Amino acid sequence: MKPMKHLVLILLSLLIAGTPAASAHPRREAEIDISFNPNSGLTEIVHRYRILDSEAVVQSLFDPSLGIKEDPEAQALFGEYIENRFSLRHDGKRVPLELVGGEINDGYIWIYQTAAELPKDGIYVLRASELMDVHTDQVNIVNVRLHDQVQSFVFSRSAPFVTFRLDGASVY
Amino acid sequence: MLPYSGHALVFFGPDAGQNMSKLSTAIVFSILLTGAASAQSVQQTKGDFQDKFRQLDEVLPTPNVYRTASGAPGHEYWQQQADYVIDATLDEENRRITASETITYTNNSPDTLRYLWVQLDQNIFRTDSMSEMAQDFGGAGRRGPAVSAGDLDTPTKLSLGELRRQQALDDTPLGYEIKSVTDARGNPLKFTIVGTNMRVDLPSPMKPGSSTTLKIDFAFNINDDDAVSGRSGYEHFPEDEREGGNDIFLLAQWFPRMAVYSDYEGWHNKEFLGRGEFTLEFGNYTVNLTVPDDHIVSATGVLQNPAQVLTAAQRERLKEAESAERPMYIVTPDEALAAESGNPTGTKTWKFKANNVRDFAWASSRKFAWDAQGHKQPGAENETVMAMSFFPKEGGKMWELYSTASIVHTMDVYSRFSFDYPYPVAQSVNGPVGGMEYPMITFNGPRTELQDDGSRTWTQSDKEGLIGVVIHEIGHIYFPMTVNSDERQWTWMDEGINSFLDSVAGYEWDPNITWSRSLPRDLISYMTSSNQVPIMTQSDSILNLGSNSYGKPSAALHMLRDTILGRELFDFAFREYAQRWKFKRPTPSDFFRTMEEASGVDLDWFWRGWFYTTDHVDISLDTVYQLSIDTKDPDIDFARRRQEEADKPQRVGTRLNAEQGIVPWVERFPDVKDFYDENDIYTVTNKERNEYKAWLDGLEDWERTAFLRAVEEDKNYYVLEFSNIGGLVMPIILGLEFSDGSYERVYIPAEIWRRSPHNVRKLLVYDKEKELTQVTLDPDWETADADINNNTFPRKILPSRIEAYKSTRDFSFKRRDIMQDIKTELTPEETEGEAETEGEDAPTPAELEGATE
Repeated sequence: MKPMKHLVLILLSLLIAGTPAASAHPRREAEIDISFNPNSGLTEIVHRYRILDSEAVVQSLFDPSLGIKEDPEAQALFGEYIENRFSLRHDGKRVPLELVGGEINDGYIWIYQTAAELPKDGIYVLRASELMDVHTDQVNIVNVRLHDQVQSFVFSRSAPFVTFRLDGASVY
Repeated sequence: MLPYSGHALVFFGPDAGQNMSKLSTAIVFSILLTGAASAQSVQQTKGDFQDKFRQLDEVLPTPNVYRTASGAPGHEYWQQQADYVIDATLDEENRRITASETITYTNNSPDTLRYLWVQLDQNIFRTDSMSEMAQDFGGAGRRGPAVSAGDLDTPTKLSLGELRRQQALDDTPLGYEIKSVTDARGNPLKFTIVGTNMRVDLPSPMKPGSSTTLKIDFAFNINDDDAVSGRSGYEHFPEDEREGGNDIFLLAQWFPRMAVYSDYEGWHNKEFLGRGEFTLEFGNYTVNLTVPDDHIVSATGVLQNPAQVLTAAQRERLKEAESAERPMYIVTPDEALAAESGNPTGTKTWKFKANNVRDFAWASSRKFAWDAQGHKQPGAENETVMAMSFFPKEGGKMWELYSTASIVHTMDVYSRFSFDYPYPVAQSVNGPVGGMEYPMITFNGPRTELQDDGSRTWTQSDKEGLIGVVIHEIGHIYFPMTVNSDERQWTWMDEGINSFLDSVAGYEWDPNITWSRSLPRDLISYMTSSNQVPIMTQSDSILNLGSNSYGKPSAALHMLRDTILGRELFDFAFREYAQRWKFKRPTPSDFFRTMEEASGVDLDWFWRGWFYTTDHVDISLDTVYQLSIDTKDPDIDFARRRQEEADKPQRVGTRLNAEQGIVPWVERFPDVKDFYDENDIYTVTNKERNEYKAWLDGLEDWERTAFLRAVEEDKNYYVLEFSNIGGLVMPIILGLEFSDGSYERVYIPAEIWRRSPHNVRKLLVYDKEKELTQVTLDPDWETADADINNNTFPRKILPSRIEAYKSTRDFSFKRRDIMQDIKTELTPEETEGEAETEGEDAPTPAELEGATE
C-alpha cells in the first residue's frame, strides 16, 4: 500500500547553548490562567514566565545585551512577543486580545491580556507556543477557569495547539 | 464592629440544666458513633464522610528488620557494595571513550544471587532503545527538538534541530560496545543486554557475604550534546582560534554501573527512559583517565598524581587555595586562553580516588580556567573541602565571582540542615549541560554574553541563574548523592527536598532575589489545574515535572517548616532524617515516618493530602457572627432587647406614610391610648425579677459563679464558619483586626477538620473592649490557598491581578530604568548666550549644590 503523504514543514529552530532537554534542574514551565472577572465583565489572561527563560528569549530573538529585569525595552519586547505566540480562536475567528501590560513580581515576569466575555458555545482553538522557539523543552500549562470548571492544557513544541469547548465536552 | 450581630444565641435558657445534659448526651453519642465507624473497616461505604486523617499505615509498607516503624534503618539494614577500578582513555579527535573496568561486588544481602544486573545508561542513545522507539511523535512528554504531528488540515512539522538530531544519530552510532565481560581470571561470563540493562549470569550462585569480580571492556562514542542532548556529552567551540576548534567533554553515566539490589525492590532494573535519573550502590573508586596532555580534568574524587599532571605553579596555587579566604586561580583565564589555541603533544593520565560514592563523573578540556577555595569544617571528617570551579572563557568573570562562592555557601547552609559535607572536594563545571549532579562534581550551564567591543557581560537574571543552579546541583551532593534515594522511582525525594533546601540557601544568599517556584504561593496555579498527578508518582509517568517534583514538594516542606511544625521541630526532624540515612537508601515511607517520629506530630494527614492526592487548598471563611449572652436578668436583657428593636430600620411603609403626611390614628386621637402605650412588652415587672432570682438560686454553686462572672465580664463571643472547597485540609490561619487598632494572628491546627472535613466552626472569645472588625484567612499567603476572594470577612471586593496592575502601573518600577539612566551624560552648563536665549535665570546644578566656588 502506498503510504499517504503528509505535508512536512521544516521549522526553523533557534538553538542556544545550555538549553538541554535533560537536566536535573527544573524544566521550563510557564503558567497561563484564563478566567472571567464579573466585576469588569472581561476575560482576563494572566501569563507567568520564569525570568531567566524570558530573558533568554529577548536576548536570542532581539538583542543579546538586553536584561529583562532591568530593561523596560526588553519587557516591552517580551510583551509583544507573547502577543504573537499566544492566540485564541472561536469558531474560526481570532478573539481580539488586548495587551494590558506586564510586570516583574515574585521572581516571575507577568504579562496581562484581556478579552471580551467568551461565548460558552462553539469551538475554541488555543495556541500557546511562547518561549518554545528558543527553549526546546518549554512547557506551557494553560488553565481555563470558566463556567465553574477548570480545564488544563499542556502545550509543548510537539503540541502547541489545542481545540476545546468551554463546557468541557469533546470536540469530536 | 461586624455587621452580623443579630445572632443572639442563648447560652442558658430557663431549662439550662436540661439543655446541658442533652448536649452532654449528644457529644457522648457522637463519639461512640465515630469510634464504632472507624473500628469497622478501612473503607467508608456509607455517606460522604472523608477521613482526611486516616493513618498512612494502610498505605506504607509494613515495617521490618531492615526499615523500622520509626523511619530509621532497621537493626538488620543492609546494602550492597560496588567498588570500581577503571582505566579510560579519551580519544579527542574521534570523541570516543575506550575503557576497562573491574568491579568488585559484595553481596551484603541475606539472599543468594544467581545473576547480577548492570546499568548501561549510554544505550539510551541507541536508535533502537526503548526511549527512542517509544517516543510518541508529537506526543506529550516527548524529549528533544520540536516535532508536531499534523492532520489533514495542519502540516506535520519537523524542526531543524530534530533533523540535526536524526542526522547525528545516523552519522555516529551511540551506545555501548561491550567488548567482553569476564570474571577475575579472565573467563568469559554469559551476559544478556536488555535495553539499558545487562544481566550477567554467574557461574555459581553468590552467597550472602561473598564478593565477586567482573571485568568489562567497553567503548562508546560521545554524543554531541547540542545535537543529541543528554546528561553528558561534548560541546564543540568551532570559533576558537585553534584549528578545528575545541571541545568540552562532560562524561557522566558513562561506564557500566552495578544496578541496585535492595531489601524493598530486589534488583532496580527499570529501563532508563531519560527522565528518572538513577540510584546506585556506594563504593570506592580508583579511576585513571588518559586525556590529551593539555587538558584540565575535573572528576569525582581526589587527584592522586598532581606531580604528573599539574605544573609546579599549579600545585603551589592549589596548596595556597586550601587556606584562601576567597577563591583563587589554579589555572588563570589567561592561561586557559593560551591553552585554547595550542595543541597537545601527547597524553597524560589523571588518577583519582573516591571513597564511599555512588557514582563517578568527570570533565575534560583545554578550555578550562580553574579556581579553588578551601572550605573549613572544624571537627568534620573532611576538615578542609576544596570548593572548585572549572569554566571556559565563555563563563568569564561571572563564574569567577559566583560559582565557587556559591559552592561554599551551599555547604554552609546544607550542612546545618543535615551533616558536614561528606567529601573532600565539591566542584562546579561549565559545559553543555544546564544542570546535573554527581558525587563531588556538578555540571552547570549559565554563561556570559560576548559583546561587540570584546567584553563579556551578563544580566541580573544570568547571575541569579548561575547562583541558583550551582546551589541546586551542589545541594544534590547531599540529596541524593549521600542520602541515597532513588530518583528513577521517586523524583521528588531528591528534587523536591533539594528544591526546598536550595531556596532556603537562596534566601540566605540574598533575600532580595526571589527564588521562583519553591514557595506555596508559587504553586497555586498548578495545584488547581486539572492535568496533574500526585507527587507519589513514578518518575517516568509524571506530568509537569517541574511543578510536580520540584515545586510542590518544596512548597509543602516550606509550609511544614514555617507554618505547621515550626522551625525548631522541623529542623530537628529533618536533620534526623538526613543523619539516619546518610550513606544509606531511604524510601518515601522512611522520610514520612522519620519526620513524624522525630517531631512528635502526627503528619499523616499532611503526607496523604499533599503527596498522595491532587487536592488543592481553598478554605473559605463563610461567615462570622457575634454572640451576646442572655444574662437572664430582666433589668438587663429586656432593656437590651428593647434597644435591639429600636435599632432596626424603620418599616418602609411607615416611612412612606409619614412622607405622605398620613397621621396615625393613635396620634390623631390620643384619647385611645391606654396602659400598653406607656408600657411596652419589654417592661420589667417583679414577676420576672422573682423568676430570675429563683433561677439563680436553683443553679449549682459552680454554675452560678461561672454564669455571674460571664455576665460581669461581658466578653465578645464570635463564631467563625469555614468550608473546605479545595479538599486539602490545612491549618486555619487568621489575621484578626480589632476596634482598638490591635492585630492578632490565630493558628488553628488542621485537626479541626478531623471529624468534619467539609465545614467547621470556631469560637473565639475576646474582652469586652476588643471588638472584631476584620478577619482575614491566611493573611500572609502561607498555605497556597487558591481563592483569596473568600478569605476575608466582612467580604472585600478584591481586585483581580490585572485590575491591581492597572491601578498601580503608573508607579511601576518601569518608570525608572536605572541601568540605562545611569549612562546619561550630565547636561553641560549653559553659556551666557544660551542662558539668555532660554530667557531663564535658573541656577546651574553646581549652584544648587552650593559649589559655585
